[in-house]
Amino acid sequence: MRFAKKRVRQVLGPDAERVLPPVVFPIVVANYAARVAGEKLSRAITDAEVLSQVLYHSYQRFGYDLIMVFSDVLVEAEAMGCKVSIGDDEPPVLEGAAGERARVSDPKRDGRMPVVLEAARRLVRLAGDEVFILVSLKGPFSLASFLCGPERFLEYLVEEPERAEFFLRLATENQKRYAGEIVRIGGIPFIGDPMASGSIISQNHFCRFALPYLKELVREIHRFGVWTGLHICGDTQKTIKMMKETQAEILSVDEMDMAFVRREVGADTVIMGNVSTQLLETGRAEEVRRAGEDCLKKGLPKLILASACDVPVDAPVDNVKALVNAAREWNGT
Amino acid sequence: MDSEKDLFALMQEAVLNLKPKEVVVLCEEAIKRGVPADEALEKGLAKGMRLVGERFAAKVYFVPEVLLAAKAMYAGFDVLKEHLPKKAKRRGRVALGVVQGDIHDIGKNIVKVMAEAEGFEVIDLGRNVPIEQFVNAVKDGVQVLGMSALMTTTMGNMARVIEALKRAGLRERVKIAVGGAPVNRVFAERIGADGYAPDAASAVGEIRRLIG
Repeated sequence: MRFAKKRVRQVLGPDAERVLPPVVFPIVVANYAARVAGEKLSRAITDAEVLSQVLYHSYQRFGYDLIMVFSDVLVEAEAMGCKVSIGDDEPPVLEGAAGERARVSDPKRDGRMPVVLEAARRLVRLAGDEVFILVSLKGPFSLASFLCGPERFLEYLVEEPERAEFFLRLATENQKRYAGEIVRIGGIPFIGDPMASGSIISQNHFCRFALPYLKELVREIHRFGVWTGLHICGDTQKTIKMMKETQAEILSVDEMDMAFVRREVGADTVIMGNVSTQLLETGRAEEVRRAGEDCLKKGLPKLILASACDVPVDAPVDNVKALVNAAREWNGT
Repeated sequence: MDSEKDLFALMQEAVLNLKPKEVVVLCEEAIKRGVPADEALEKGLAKGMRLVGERFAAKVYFVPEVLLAAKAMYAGFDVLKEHLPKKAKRRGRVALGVVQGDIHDIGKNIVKVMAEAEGFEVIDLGRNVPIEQFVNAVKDGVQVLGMSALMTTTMGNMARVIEALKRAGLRERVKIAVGGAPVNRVFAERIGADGYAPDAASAVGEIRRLIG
């Protein structure tokens, strides 16, 4: 969309009512974009040119309003010392946690961070005038859990909280630095914190171990002079208000009733979401369109219509189109 | 601690309160008093773990609490195990694994703990398990094969395992249960699984149902 950037800015500002048709972004990331472009995932996540090309290809093909540079959840963990194995056409796998060896990384040099940053730089050059280039930034809680190994980290929360906090601080430092680099090249850091899900940890643990570090990270991103977003997977009914406390401008939510989400966060907060990924994968296009309309009805005007989580690799192209069309053909009834 | 019954209640409570050291002390006490180890396991530790499962299902407990309760239970199990009757009656043999490409095994590990607490023999195939390894587990003889995936990108591998079992002529030998966040009943039926559980807490009930 030629005016995507302007439209997103309007949704974030006081003129959200005037944005027609509504802003839409099926969360298309490397794996789906690679598939649609007929490219192998392993190439897309190791080669900046391929990554930028497949993401640009999907953006043009579907005509949505944002681009998200997201390779996989382990980019930062790998750069900080975790061992990651990259299959041929599957998302990378955590082979060995970094543990005590974890260190703050250099985004210009370590792991595949340079690949992601270079892809973002190319996209900014290619389309940055018309569309915001979001770059995925792992939330400190998720990153710390990868650094320790997820199970060990979750045990630390109860048994050795100071140890958990040590890794959380390390992860936060790393992400502040990474966010600075993302902003420097013209991207918008967009936080994703899948492990901080309400399906994994309690409200109390979220409040103590996820929230403070998210707040610190968002503060730092604001200091760099840009807005940001926060996506948390799974059931966040009990923590959605705390997500708002982080001050992230966009709250991206997984599958939950949109009317409930709207009530919880109030009328002024921008919500991104939340058409079921399962439906995108197995439903019919017509069902996807109806689900999209339901979100619009309950969430507008401060809404970016999106999938509940990233678009599943096997979702039919027609279903992604149907999600975009739900917004494009929205007539407000 | 007047009676065995109280001792079992304390064991349950110690598991529920995530206290491995207390569990160990109580199990040692049980052995000293001549309480049969299998009874302590069943009425104390396993019952405690079932209560943990209930709290998990009710969203009072979350994954960290379940992991630590499991740790407490295993600490007690280590004390009891050498005192268990040599041929403890097992309810059945179950193989569990997370499909290839997927490293999210917390759910699978919780199912494993719950299943063991219920007296099933569990073969843990681990995570990122190749198709052939599932097939081999069935060859070695299990009544139930449980597969999980936490990513939409990998759940398709469940169907591939079932196909491979058919090709090897092994499909009828085993009941197949699937689960994991992106999986639902419709998907389970479509790929031809026999059972499905929406979460780790209900998985053991499903395994029990399949074994019949």
